[in-house]
Amino acid sequence: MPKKQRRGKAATYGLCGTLLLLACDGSGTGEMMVDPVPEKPFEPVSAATYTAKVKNLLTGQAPTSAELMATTADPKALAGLIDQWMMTPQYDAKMLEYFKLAFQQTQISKDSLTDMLGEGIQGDGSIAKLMKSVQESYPRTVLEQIKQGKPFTDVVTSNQYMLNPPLMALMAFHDQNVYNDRNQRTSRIATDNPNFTFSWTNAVIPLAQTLDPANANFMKWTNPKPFTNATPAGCNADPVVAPKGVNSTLYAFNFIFGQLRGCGATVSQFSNADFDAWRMVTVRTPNAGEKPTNFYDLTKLRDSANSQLVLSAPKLGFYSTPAFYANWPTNASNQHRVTANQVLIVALGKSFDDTLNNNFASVDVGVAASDAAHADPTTPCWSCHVSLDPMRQFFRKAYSFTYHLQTDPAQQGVTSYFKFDGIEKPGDTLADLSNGLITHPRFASGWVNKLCYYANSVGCSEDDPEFIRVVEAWKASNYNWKTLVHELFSSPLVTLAARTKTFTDNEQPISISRREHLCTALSNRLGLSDVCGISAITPTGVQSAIGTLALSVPNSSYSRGGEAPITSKDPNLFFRSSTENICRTIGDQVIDAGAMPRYSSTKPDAAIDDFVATVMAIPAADPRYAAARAILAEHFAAAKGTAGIVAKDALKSTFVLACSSPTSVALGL
Amino acid sequence: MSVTRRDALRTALLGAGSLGLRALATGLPVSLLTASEEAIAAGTCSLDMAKAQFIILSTSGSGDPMNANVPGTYGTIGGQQAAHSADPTMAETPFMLGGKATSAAKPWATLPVDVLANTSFIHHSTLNNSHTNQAKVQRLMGVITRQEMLVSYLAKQLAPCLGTVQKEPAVVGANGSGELLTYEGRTLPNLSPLGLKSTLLSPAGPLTNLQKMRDADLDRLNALIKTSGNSAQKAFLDRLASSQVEARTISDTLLTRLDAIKDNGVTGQVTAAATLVAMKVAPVVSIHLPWGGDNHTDAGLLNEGKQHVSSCVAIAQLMQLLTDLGIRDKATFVAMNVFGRTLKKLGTAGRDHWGSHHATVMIGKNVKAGIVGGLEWKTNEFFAAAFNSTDGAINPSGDVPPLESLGAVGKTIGAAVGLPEATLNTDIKVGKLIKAALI
Repeated sequence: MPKKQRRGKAATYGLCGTLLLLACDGSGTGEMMVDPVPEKPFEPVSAATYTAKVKNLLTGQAPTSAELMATTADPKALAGLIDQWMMTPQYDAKMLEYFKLAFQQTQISKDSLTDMLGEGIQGDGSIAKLMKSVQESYPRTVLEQIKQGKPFTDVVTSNQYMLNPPLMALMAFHDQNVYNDRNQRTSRIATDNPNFTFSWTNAVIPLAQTLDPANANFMKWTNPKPFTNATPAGCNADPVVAPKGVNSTLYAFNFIFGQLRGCGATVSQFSNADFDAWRMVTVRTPNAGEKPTNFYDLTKLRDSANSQLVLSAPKLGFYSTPAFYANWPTNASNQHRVTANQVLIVALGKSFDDTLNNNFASVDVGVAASDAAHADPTTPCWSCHVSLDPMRQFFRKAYSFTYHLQTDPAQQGVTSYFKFDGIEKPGDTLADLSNGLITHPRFASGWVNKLCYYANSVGCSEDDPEFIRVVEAWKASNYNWKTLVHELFSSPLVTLAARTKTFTDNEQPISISRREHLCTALSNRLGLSDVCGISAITPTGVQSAIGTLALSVPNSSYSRGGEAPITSKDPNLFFRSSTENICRTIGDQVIDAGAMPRYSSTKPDAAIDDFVATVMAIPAADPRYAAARAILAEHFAAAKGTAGIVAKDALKSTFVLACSSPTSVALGL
Repeated sequence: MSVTRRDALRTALLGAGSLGLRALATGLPVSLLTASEEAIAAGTCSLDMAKAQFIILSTSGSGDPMNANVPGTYGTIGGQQAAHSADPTMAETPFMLGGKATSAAKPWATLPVDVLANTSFIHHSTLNNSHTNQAKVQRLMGVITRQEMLVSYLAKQLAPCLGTVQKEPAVVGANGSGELLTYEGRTLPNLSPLGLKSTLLSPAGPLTNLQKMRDADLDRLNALIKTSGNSAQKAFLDRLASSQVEARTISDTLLTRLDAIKDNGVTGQVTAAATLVAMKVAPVVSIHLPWGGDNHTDAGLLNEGKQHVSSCVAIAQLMQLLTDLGIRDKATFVAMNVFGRTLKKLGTAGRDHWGSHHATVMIGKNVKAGIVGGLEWKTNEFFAAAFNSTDGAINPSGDVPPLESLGAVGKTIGAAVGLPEATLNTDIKVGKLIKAALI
């Protein structure tokens, strides 16, 4: 039977009935929207444009005249400037947001933890801080690794993580509150100690006694907000004693995050200082005879000298974080295929699909275990499952469906195999999987291309000699991230100062300033803190207003199974209206506002100078500066001369004009 | 007489014979600056304008069990019965559809009679069972010309006929990045109803009074940047300037209707969708109505029931809003997801993915009420059956086999919103137009 007919039949009759991750349809993978055209003429981009673009991408700030003069005189000066910009806190903040997306550690809410924990997480306002910590932990880890000069391959191989005490408590609780593949729950702590009892009381009990197993007050916690209502029944007893057994630890976990289980809210045991107390922690499995870390042992979790978190389930790299688990829940049907696929996408920039090199010498492991239909090489299902299923076995061996320690001997004994795009290696553990990832030929090119997307909103051509040069330079540096940023952002791949094959293959990358870039630029250029409230736990009224407006400005994001990030780059009426209203709202904050306003309507010339140089990112050395300034000055004068308009409003209108101008809302102009 | 923003814009842009200067300043083509809705429509609409319809598309990448409770899934088929929720709110309920007695889950059966009078339930396959294929299903699994999304293909042709502000679809309330739509291959942004409301409503005050002046000076800044720009930069600046013109083209009167949006849930989404259609902002507006989501673990199908109730209420609200806005006959509602879910086999507790059956729901002026196709039982599950395109009856040798049914649904949606059959047959390579679903 011809291949196409076989595929059609397979799809129609549901031979891939349990495949939840990938298509068995065998259809094409992308849109073919571009008709063949003759090679387009190359028009180099000016130094003013690429200097502003690169500095904006790396710091959110506008270039200075000195910087522009340097790159105009010698384009090679850009590389040195990049090195300087990488030293700034603004760069760290930009990379923190970038790594959140690149490692798929965001786009989650507290409800996303439900599968892992078996129920929705409960608590007071500390839960919002915990969720922020969950998403920031891995990006902070990568930044720390980079600062320590470690190779970027650590993102897959290291078991060190930047953690704070509340996050350690979450990880330790998840680790002991075990669900197996049959969704049966056990508590390690309750199993080890059948007399484990948790209670809360209005009496003042020192924490040291609460945490001391030898003390009579062990696990008797002082309730910081005594319960006073008559209902629910029993909640105003003192003490309130939780039932023994598997639920006892759940009561304790809820309590330390500010929830009296069954009774209502109290105050979390974790302070803001706890959430700010980040440190590098090695997360490891127990040594012989050693017990894992108890989630309630706040003293140990807070001890800055303690750099170990002992958990039963193994953790390695970006794919063992609560955020990654929360992003990619699996189940009895999916059987960790989504986990394996998203790991491939993050680590190598590539998903399982039937276009890969699937010629493997090794036996087909794991395929038949899931569904006999997938083991049939005549079906399109097989072309994905042949490598997908052996790879997902690494996770089946290590974890239950809820990312707890796998305790089923049948699953612990399955055979796993690293098989991806023509590369195959036997392996048994997550460490073997990680080794397969960092030694795969796609590791370096995959990450360079991720950064291309960040810079250009589109990928680079991987057969572009300049792209290959950057990849090789990065590899030669032993995967030093700073070297990659240095090489790529000073490359014509990003600057468009010279023709590259990427330019020939794609349209010239010009993009709207997506939400994360626009908000950061406005914050950093105007000295405002998190103007859109992106990272705010409790946004101010202004942050909420701007944040709501910013919802109509596209942000960068990732999707299940999507190899490329989603990077909308075209303006539309919603973007236009939104940016204009954002600028209006900010104008109210920076003009004649407060005792020390950023801009004063009594000094319009100084304000307009700064509008052009800082807000529009057109410094005085830019040939466009004088004309742009004249337009703004004329606008101010005309507005001020309008009946009913005072100088303050005229300057605000001028600010909105600058703030919504093309160079303020776009990258690459 | 009140002066609308549209009037003001036209005066500002078109007054005093300054078109040439204006075009030079902004870099926009004169044709765009002169374009009224009528001019756009008269110039480029290639369809029968009377038949052209806006589309309000509900789509979900979760693979909701929308297929499992529609008419055609009840009774004994091949000696088997599909599993349904025992919740009384989801009870099998008899009702009349297209003059024939049938039954469905209560939320469907109790839709207003005037809505059911133009509702078709088409049983078919989406040919996949993976969440990641949401975009592929929107591209009809590759059978549409240039591998374009169906909504993109339709929007391009409908926009000039409907005189919409923008040609691209507007995506409101996509549940995650996987549900984003593309227009000519470019990813469209996701808009939240509340964000939309605050975005489009400009507060009154001195800065609004200076808007025309600001627009003019923004045009000057565009022109300035253009002078040193290369051709790609100039093209981008044109798009930026176009977006400005589009933003000013929205009716103030209709904008006030956005005040009714109170949340980002289904009510907020249908309010936003109806208002965007009434404002003629986009030819296609997509929303996300949930029908139970990815409900492998939905014990007792409780969430499936809850979301069916709320989404059918939302459909009724949408239809009433369209009626209130006087555009009920101008918009067609379509619900089409990435795949359906198992009807017989329940997963861990709920339903598993099922690529071999899905139900598309269409409601609109040109839609004939009824059930098209249905189920057939095979070894372990119900599959979409082959059917006749002319009368919708199940027929093993019918001219719409499951393999071609997704393309057939795409063509039928196209025909329902005004595209000629010949065009559809040229551009969608597989599938027979389902005349049984059309008036």
